[in-house]
Amino acid sequence: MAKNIHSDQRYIVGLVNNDTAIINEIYKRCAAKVKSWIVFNNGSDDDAADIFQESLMDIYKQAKYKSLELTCPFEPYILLICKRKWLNEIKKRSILPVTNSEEDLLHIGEDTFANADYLENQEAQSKLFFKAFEKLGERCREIISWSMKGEAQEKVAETLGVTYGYLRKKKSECMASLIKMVQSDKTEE
Amino acid sequence: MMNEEKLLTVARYLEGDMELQEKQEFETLLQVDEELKSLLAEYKNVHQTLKMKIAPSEDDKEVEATLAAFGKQYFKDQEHSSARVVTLRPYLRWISVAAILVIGLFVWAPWSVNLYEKYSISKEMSVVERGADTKNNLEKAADLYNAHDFSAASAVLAQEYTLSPENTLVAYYYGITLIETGKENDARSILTKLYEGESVFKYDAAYYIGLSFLKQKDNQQALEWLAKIPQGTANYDKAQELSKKLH
Repeated sequence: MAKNIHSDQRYIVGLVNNDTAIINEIYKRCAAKVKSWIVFNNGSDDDAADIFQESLMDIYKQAKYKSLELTCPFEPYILLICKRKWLNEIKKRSILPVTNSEEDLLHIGEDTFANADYLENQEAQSKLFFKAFEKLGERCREIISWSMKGEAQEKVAETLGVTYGYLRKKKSECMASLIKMVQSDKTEE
Repeated sequence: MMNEEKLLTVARYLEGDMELQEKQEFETLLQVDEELKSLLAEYKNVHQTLKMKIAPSEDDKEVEATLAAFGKQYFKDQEHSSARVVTLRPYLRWISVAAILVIGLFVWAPWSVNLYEKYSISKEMSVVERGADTKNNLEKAADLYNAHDFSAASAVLAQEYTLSPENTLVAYYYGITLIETGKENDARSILTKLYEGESVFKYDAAYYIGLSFLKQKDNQQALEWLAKIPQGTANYDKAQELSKKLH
């Protein structure tokens, strides 16, 4: 898949590398805007800080674990994500929003919407996968989460009190049944 | 091979549960079997997505900590105390301190900023409290304004101003927040309309247009606007006093 990666990808790289100079630049450019919009829509400073941080963490994780590639400018992208997050949040708290969902976003490019939609889909997927994971047996859940933590296999086997050979075999089986579950969840929908 | 069997081979392949020969066979098959390819992609997708949720790494926590620190700085502190640590060799440091002081004084021109601050008149924005449990936007703007968070106040007032440009109170304070946030030109176009009208803010607006020029070190125009404030109005004395200092 050929993609035109935007030069603002550097912000994403900065996030992944925990580069404080770049992260500072992100806050400098966007924090005041997020804050005034959220405060204007009945949130507090703390709400704004939380929403901004959560959005950045979502982007960070997508970039680190799933090599997210940005094809739109960063600033409207993060602002759009924060707005959507806050609108979801006030729906939950049943506060009335002041502005209509996206009427003030008309100047934002389609590519930005597409990038933000992608991130949202990823979040939704993540919830689905986790639901499937929770349906697995306890043993499988244990084996999968221990293995994902990146510990040496021998150590994981020892912790769980099984042999190395059993762990390897069981892990593949557990993952296979997880994927099967995800597939059948998908066809159910 | 059935889907289920394929799935298990994909899992065994990716989890490192294959001997060398089986692995090579799998890789050859992968070249031609589209279904196997898509299963592999799906597997990786689920694996990575779950991994970020159930097994966050140390790095993730460090990034979160960095974000939390900046969040505190940018969302909670009213005034930005962004102290920077700069290390220089001692002699260089003194030379640069001296140079910065000299250059800084001319560029920054603290005397005109001080005059601007000293002579500003509307330090508090007060609006009629409705007494309801939720604050309306004007009350919110007033709180922000009085906390000297002018950029946030400006954002709220901008919306109010678009909704009701005829509200002179909104226009006046919106103008001041624009001056405070360095948008003097925008401020002046709003305040000039007020000055041309007949509201209670007529001469306050003229006074602030004067201050906006003062802030930009354009003393000539500042004086012209201060001169428009007639004797007997509230700001006359202040305007005269300030004019003398600018001459």
